[in-house]
Amino acid sequence: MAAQETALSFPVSTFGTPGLIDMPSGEVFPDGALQITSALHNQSQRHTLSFQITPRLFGSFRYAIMEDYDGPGINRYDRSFDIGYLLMQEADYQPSVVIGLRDFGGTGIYGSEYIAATKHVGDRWALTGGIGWGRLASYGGFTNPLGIIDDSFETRPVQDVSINNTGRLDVKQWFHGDAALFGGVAYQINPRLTFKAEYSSDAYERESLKGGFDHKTPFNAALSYGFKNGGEVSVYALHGSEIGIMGSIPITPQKPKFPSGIEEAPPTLMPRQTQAALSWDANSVRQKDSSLSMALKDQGLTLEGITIEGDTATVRFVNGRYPAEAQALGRAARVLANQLPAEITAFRLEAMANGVTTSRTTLRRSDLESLEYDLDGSWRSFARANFEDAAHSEAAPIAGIYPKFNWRITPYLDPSLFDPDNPVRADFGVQAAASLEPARGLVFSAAVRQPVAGNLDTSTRPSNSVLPHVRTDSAEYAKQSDLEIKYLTAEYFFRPGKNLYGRATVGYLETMYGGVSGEVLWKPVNGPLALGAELNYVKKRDFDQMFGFQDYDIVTGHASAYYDFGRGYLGQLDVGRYLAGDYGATFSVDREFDNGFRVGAFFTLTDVSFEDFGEGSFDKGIRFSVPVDWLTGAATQGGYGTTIRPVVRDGGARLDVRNRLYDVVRNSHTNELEDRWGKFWR
Amino acid sequence: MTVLRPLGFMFALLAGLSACSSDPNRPNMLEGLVNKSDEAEPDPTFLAYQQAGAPAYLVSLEAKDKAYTVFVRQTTNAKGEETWISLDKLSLGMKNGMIIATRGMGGDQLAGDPSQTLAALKAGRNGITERFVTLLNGESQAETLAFRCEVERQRQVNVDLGPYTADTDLFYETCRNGQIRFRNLFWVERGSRNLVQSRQWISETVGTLALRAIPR
Repeated sequence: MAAQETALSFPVSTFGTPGLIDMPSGEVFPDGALQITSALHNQSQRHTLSFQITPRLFGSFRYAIMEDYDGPGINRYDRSFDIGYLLMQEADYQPSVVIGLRDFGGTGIYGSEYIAATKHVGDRWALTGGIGWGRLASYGGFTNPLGIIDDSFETRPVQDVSINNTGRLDVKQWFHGDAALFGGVAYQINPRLTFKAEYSSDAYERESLKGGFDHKTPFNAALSYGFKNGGEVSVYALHGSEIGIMGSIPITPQKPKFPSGIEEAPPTLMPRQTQAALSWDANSVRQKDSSLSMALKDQGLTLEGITIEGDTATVRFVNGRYPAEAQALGRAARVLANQLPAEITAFRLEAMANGVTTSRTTLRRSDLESLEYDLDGSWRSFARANFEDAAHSEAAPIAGIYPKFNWRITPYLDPSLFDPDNPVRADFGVQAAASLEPARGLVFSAAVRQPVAGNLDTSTRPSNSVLPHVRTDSAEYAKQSDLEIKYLTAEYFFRPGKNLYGRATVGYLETMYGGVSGEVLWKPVNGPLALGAELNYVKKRDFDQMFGFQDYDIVTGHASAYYDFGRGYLGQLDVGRYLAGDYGATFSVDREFDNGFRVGAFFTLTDVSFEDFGEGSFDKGIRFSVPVDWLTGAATQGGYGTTIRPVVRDGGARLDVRNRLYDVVRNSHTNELEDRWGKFWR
Repeated sequence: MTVLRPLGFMFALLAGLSACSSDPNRPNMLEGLVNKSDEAEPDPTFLAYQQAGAPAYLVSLEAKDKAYTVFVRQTTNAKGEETWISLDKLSLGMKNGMIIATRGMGGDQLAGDPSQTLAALKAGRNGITERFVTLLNGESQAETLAFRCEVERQRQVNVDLGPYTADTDLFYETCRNGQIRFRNLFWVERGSRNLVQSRQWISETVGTLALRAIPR
């Protein structure tokens, strides 16, 4: 019998936000949803990524291409941000209501504000009505009713549209000037087909003037076909003169294809055995090739140390396989239960990252036995476990583990998205990486890249920055390099004390800088707050990305605070000196789903003036990362991520050193363990 | 033999995992695709138990054509919960023929409590039962669902088990909660009251497994 099918299609406009055709609606997307939308009509492309940041708040990033907008043959590439907030949820006798800002920090081509309401009638009809300002009042406008509050609302200040002024919030314009009404209907013909019609308050003034757009009527219509996966294809008619096509795909971070993963089953928990039956003794278990070591290795875990005292076994191990540390703990515990004699009843598991111990989890054998198939076994086993710091390992090392040597040859993709001349630039090539750990905590590593194909080196925009060119030379690095050293470093990770972590790195730290970097982090195992400090002295590398340096050098560093607000919201504040010598702060918020899927945004304000910063006024961007296991279901660590900046400039630029401590150590701390504890029994 | 274990190779390839490495935890996915083989490397533990004559089930996945494998019983714990393992390194938690857990199927059941339905089947009577299922959801969290089920005897059925034909009563167990409906089928041998054959729902991702006891 088939499970009930749920409607997966979400109403999305050509702007990629909840709406009808061009007009917004009073709806929002489901919490956490990502929506990718492309809408194309003659001389216009709009590509939008929207994210439902909280159940009520959504944000969008849009890249639009308008052909001949700046004269014959001169296209306009425009980046814009939207934000919308659900004021009121739909109920029996009330509509859902959204207040939104469209293109609030860009060049303002789409700059507008709106309040829209949507009410569903029956199963098939959705009625929308709203009031708009700015571009959304360019057709059928009337005197702003907000003039009742203050006369100043009745005029919209003229916007400074020079490129250097973009990126600032045009607060003085918001909800100012004429207002206009818009509205429309959506009718669900059948579960797959939807018809939409709207009365638009957008006159397409600039397109009519510059690109020959013909605004014949205020009415638009569209027919949409929804696919089973929630994707949608629409054909739309705009203002009686243009036909367009639109496609949208929703991504639901909470729902990977294989929710529980496809890795093999864990070891079966066997009945307790005596020391004699296991032919076990305390010395042989300390050998590198003991059956305990081998059984752990079979699960992707490396035993680095073990001490047995009375009824307690303390082990130190490296999890080289599972993205969820809770799963590594669950498997390690079952292997210990099967391999150690019955008298040993408590297991203390020391997790490691980059050679340092990061937490110690104590589990009891009897809890494993009683909770293996318990209906609430996941939560009960978490509640009965004890988590503490492991500043000093209490497991005696096993001889012969170090030195460790690892190598890897992989393809790589280095994208540079949405630059002002070309939406997609990328290099593709081969990367060889290797690491040598002569002793615990000391890591020598290197990566070299050979680009094979790509267009990163085709950027023709010379840097016009008045600041030191700390980032705007990036195209030169792509142009003047062939075989390149991505990084070549010696790192040392250590524990200066309880709740404290340290890192020292020296070498070629990243594509553009080499030097020395030191960091200290305070992060309790059981707490939401972490504090860190980093100090670096770096020199700009030669464009060929080999061994040489350029003249520019700088001392840069930050004090950082990290806070886990719960429910997946992470905040970070970094205050300090940036690469160009500017002082300021970076504010970041990320939403991290329990499965590791992460979407975030950040901005940086420094003592560099908006004029000196240049286009965009200040540094900002969005970033996301998708874990490998989310994509494939396989138990493999790591992920794919990228940061999208509307424009890369030199102000507020931070060193990109590898292995900053917060992300290195947090995976085995209590908050992260709890997030993925469902994997303990998997 | 086709394996039950879902394969994520295409995704992995698209994601650029076609790498070679010294690290066995980062398998060479490209190789896995080129040597496209449905044969999983047989699990030596499975073979040892099979050769020792452990009880066995033939299990198939309803949603996937020709996807079947053999499970053997590896152990029974103090609570009477059994762990069964397959050639392709999956496992099932079982209790008296009822599935109480799966491991490795992509949308696993972490635990289940079908004891009321089992009692009805053992007693050979119709009735309304409560069934609980704990799933591992896409956010790595355990999520327990409660179902209201109707257990109803249908008819007498002969089930050909190979060496002999079992005389069984076929029961339907129809379960629902607010969002999900499923139906399990149980063929209960007369006399022994053992479940010799069944179809049991696991999760929305996996669907239904069909089990048949392999007589020894």
